[in-house]
Amino acid sequence: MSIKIALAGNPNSGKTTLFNALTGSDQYVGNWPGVTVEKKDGILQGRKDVVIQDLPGIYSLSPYSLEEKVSRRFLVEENPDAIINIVDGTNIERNLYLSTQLAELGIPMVMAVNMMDVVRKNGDKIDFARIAKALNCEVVGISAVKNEGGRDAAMKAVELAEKGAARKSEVPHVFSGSVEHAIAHIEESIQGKVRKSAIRWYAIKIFERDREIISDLGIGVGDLKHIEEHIRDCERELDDDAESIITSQRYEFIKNLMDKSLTKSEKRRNKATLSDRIDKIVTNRILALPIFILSLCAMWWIAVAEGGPGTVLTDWANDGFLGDGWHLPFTTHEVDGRDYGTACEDYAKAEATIKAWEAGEKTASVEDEETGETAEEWQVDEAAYNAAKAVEEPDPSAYGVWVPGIGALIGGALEKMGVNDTVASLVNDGAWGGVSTVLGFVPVIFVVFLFLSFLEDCGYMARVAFIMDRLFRKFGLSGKSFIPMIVGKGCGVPAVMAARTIENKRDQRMTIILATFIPCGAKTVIIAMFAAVFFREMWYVAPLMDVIGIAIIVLGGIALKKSSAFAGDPAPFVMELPAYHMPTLSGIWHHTWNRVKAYMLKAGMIIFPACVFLWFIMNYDFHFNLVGADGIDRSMLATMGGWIAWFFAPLGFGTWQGAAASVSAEIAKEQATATLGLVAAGFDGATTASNITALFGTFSDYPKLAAMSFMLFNLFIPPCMVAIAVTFREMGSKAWGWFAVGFQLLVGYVLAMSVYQIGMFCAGGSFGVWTAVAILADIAAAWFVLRPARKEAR
Amino acid sequence: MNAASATVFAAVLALAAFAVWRTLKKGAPCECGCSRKTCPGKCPSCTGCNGR
Amino acid sequence: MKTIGDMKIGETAKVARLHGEGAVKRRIMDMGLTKGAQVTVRKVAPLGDPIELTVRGYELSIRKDEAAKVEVE
Repeated sequence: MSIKIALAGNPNSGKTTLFNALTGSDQYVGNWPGVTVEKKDGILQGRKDVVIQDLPGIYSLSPYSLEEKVSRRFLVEENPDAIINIVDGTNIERNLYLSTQLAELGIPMVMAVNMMDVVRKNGDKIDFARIAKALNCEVVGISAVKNEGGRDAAMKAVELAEKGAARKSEVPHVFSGSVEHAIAHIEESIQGKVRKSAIRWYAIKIFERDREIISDLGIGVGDLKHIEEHIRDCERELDDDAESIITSQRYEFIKNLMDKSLTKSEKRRNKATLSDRIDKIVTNRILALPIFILSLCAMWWIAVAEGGPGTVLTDWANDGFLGDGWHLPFTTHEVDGRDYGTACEDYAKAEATIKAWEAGEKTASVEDEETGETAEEWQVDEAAYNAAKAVEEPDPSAYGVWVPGIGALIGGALEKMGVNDTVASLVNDGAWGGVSTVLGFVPVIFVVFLFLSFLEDCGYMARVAFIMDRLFRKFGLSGKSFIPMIVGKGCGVPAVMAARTIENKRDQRMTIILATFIPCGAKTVIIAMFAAVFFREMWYVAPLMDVIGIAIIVLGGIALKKSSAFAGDPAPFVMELPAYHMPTLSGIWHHTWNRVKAYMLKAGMIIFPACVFLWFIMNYDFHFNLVGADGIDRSMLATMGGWIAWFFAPLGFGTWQGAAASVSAEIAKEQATATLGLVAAGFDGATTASNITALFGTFSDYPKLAAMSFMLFNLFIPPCMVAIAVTFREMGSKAWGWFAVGFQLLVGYVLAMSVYQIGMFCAGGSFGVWTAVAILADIAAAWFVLRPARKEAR
Repeated sequence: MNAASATVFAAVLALAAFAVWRTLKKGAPCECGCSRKTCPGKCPSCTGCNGR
Repeated sequence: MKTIGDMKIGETAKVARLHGEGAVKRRIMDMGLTKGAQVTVRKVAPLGDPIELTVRGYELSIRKDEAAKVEVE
């Protein structure tokens, strides 16, 4: 016989921390039937017969929000054996509001007053015994985050559950005389219709005219009239409506209780807390928005600015650690008056001289690695040729302690094993080439996720929603819609799901459609690569992508809100603002590391097989002949890419490579970088970066413009397949899913096209059909945004 | 194709197949940043960790 | 009739009555803004809206138009 214990409490009360501590990893996560509210239950550690049901965080058991409905249905219909009510000790008054309602259900209850560590630090005192007596339940103090007392509270609940119905039958009486009188009458009329222990809760709900309960119970018309009279009497006497009477009196009861049970420390009353002082600056009317944008810029600068820590680490990762190899810092020295870099350059020039002379040419040249342009050119003659032949390839280990990169090690091992060229290519170019490209960006990902975790953990994000609310409301959303967008900076999947907190269905749909326009972690990799390859000197290109994302959300929201499907009053923005708290180092570290770990796991589980597959269709034609790098244009990938390349022509990358990279990005956005690395390998440059530069040179006469267009396209079209699947699921209907995808595709396409076409026009002056199309599309988009709003049909 | 090549080739294919199988079974790795030990690893079930 | 919307930053008042109806009103009351509650206006967002209040020991954010329905004395 298993024991069922419900865990109920306000949002932000530490419920999840407690739940995790009690159940460990033995949890099951799913959905409450028929609704998109998360259902979580787990086994109490050490007691296989005890199931802990985590209820959604709720402020009340009213019939209005989905979370509340689901919770009360569980409590009332499934009748758990006990309740653990977790209460935030630093915010106890409002938390008790729910407690009084839970107590009326007639289910044995343990109140776990959480955050006692903070309460004690503040110097406050709470009289547990008095509260226990007033609410007829057990009260204990815990600190979930410090892992104190949680288990004891749970065991107490188990004890109560095992004692069973030996429950003190008195449920707390919270209301005034006339209200209690009415409640008593109501209880009479529903005798036998409901479980005896919960009869008071039902009666109170009926007094509040709770439509759901009234229809569920099927109370007779005559009885209803009788009850209604009693209610009206109270309303007249107290000059207020029934619902308000109940809520007010609950709070009055609580206030009286708190006056006697809570002693606040004197010193705290007068000091402005650190939280307040931070808040003064960060949500200041004038400074708030600039501070937000500045923090974004700071993050990006650290991540991708030339010479900044992010790029240094990424370059080391890409070319050194994962590639050919690197020198241990502080061990490098010169040989024959040259350092390793210069020695390599000299060798490259010697090779160029040899190549030129043997081809019968008069001049040789070397290219700049990054720009692909000719860096140096010189005459060759027989003397130069002979001198060049004598130049030896510099041995890196002579210049310092050389650590071979993983790529070199793999390549070397394969050679030693005698593996043939084709299979070696599969491993070196295909598998490792692709995966290493993606892994090379871990430093960038790390920085972004670190910032994100810090901002989330310290409570800044809730405040940002507050700041953004007014701005968001101008185009019909509420600040609540902003939170999914912050979540989206990490991954689009939880962002789309976070839209569940929005009660208004229309706003929720809109948020789902717009949430993925904020570049997610995977898209950040694309930004990182393009910033490194094409926009190194322009570090502001990276934060610009975030700004564009926000702009699309704002403008897209405005445009959508004007159509009748989305029009309507903005959703109310009633939101608790939790205090700032200094995030724990371990907390930030875990959140960051979890994400980075997932990213690396993704590289192995998704990027790796994708690259293997790509290698195949890149090296073989449809008859399964090996075509290799030289015959790549006859490969399956090139052919298939060619079938759809026309679609991307107006965007500046209408080639099979551009098509292949963009399509492959739907598996996972970062795959685009891996695919580009793979298809560009044929250029045989010194680094992946120079290869890709050369590749884009073949796309367009304005490679940087094509690169920008490519980046914009892949960033702002529908997200990866997994996120699209979640979009469909959260929308609940295929029609809406397709609308979302269609809208996103249109936005990405028009944006990339406009930038490329108009950019080309400005740069080269060529005005073609597509330039005109782009301009018309922009005008149409502007109209959608600026047209007068339609009145909502009532 | 010599023995070494065949082995390496088979190994790569086997690893790739494993990766695909694992993804189909467990879902894509979730980058939601959940600190709870049980972020199920299956992205569609991960709820965005609102209750952190 | 004076409402929360008329209060200045830093001002404290007592809730006299709640106007309006429906889910939003219920939500506001559930969050502690009931008759007799002490409420202090802490700050106002950059564009004038929403408003942050201290009520019953914690911070609550509501919109200006919702605040206008809460009468204070």
